Amino acid sequence: MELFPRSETTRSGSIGSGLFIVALFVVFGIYAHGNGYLLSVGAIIAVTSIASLGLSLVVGRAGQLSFGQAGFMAVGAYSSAWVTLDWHFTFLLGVLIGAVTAGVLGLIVGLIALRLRGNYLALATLATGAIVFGLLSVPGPLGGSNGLSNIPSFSIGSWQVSSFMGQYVFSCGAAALACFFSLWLVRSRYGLELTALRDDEVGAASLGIKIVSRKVEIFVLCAIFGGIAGALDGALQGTIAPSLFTVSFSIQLFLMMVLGGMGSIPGTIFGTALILGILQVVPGTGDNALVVMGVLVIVAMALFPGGLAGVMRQGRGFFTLRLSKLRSRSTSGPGVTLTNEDVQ
Amino acid sequence: MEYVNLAIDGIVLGCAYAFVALGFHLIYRTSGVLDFAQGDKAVIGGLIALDLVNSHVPLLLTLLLVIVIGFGLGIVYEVVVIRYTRRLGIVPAIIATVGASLLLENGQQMIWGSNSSPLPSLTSGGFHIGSINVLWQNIWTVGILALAVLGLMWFLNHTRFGKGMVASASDPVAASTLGINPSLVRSVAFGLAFSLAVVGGVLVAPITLVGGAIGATFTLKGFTGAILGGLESAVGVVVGAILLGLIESIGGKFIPNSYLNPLDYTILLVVLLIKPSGLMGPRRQRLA
Repeated sequence: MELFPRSETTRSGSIGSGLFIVALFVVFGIYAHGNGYLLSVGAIIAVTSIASLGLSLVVGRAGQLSFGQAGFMAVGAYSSAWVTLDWHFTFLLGVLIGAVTAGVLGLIVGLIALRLRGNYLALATLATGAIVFGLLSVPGPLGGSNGLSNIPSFSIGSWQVSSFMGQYVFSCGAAALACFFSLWLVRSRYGLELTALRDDEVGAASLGIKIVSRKVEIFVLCAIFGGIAGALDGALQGTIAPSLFTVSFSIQLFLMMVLGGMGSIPGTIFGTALILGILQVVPGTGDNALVVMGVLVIVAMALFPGGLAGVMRQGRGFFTLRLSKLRSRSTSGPGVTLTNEDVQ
Repeated sequence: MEYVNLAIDGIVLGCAYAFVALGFHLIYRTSGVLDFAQGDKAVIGGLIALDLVNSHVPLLLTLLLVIVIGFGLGIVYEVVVIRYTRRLGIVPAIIATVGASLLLENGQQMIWGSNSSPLPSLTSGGFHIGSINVLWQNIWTVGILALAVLGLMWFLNHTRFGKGMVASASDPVAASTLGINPSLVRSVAFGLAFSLAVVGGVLVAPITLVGGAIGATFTLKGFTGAILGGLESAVGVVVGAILLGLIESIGGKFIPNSYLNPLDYTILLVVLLIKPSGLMGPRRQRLA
């Protein structure tokens, strides 16, 4: 078992797995039809998975530890809420503004990331998230710890989305777009360059991959994903407050990606559903759920560092191994194979 | 004179951060892992001490007991969290410590409740020099910190076992061919780091109260201090942490309290950008 899916770097993330995710969204939508609670949980999972997908690209694909995703979400949420509330921008324009502002912060963090690696980068990004949280908590025009409220829900042109089902469909649509974009990205030449950067920075540079621009670009992209997720989250919930974007939430986003399987796009969405599911299902205050999460992470890192995607990959490998054994037995039989020892 | 008093407060606060930061330094030098649960260990130390004090154990004995318990807990921590994850590389081990910090921070609130309560000082009261107030607790904190730093430096740089610890971090394979047992070494390092954090937790408890969700703050502050001074040197780590304490207490005079945390973390980012090896670290160094 490996942390990163090395052996399948080129093939991982087929478009089929994206269709599978869409099918799951549809099935859940049909199942939860008429149940407002389930639909809103589903919508939150879909929106949050956009943020964890961004993290999956930067950590799982490019190998840069980032613990500040909630900070990007906060910047996206606040800036889009601000322009829709005070300047009466339309919803989509607000999301765009949120994405751009978060992207600018991502640019700064990306420039920081150029100088740091591993441990140091992890805590630098954690500190970035903590700075954003700290500044938002200061009383002022952004509402201090009360945040902003009465944020309008999703709308496109004159079409207002207000029903639970409408919000669910809209969120899933956005998550599916993010999912397909990520799948396309990791399969493209660009994605392969990122993987090369993750596995061997010096080797990648020697092949002419522009390390510096790739690192900065992927941080900007990750921040844009976070900003969009934050903007959608604000519109979905109607109110935003700094307490939604704590350092602890950054860590939860990171764990979604880790438990789902680093760098696996469908795995990240499963991981998001898993973590948010634990928070919903485990009884008592949030403490119990976080304890469960902590234990799960320690066990997963010791036994299944590939996360859910790794477990599935192992299962599939097990079956294909059996299949190929069966096939080789039926077609060629016990043939003679030359090995190195025979030649020598 | 007001500034002298503020400076004393700052130094004492910095000493508390320094205990956490020393743990970072020790773990980093012996295993290359950065432990996200370091601050939560300090909180646990304070809570255990509180339980002991409440069952009428004398305070000094409590301090000694807590050090021993902390060492044991640290070894358990290493076996549970680090031993199996470290085999797969640094990153899984770091992620596992993130899980451990969730477990410790929320687990302690399940056991001890989420309310914070005060712990008495080792020696109550203090003395005055002119208008400067000095608490006996401050003397204890600074003194124990100085002992801990000197002891740690002597242990890592002058004893056979300590040198072995550093060696096994820089090249585990070479070290094990020379008869150093890497997993034993790592266990001892985590035990010592847990003890250090626990002592910090006990000494700072009269100021910050025990329990509640302050572990993450300790972790970030301790790390900021460690980076400020230089993660590679024990003295640097302590100087950085005390500097951070001074910045906080004197800065609190000029800017509102709510801006202090962002200020700290901005300092962390600036230091990481300008001189990642810290104020007292070597001049040129690639950080892996």
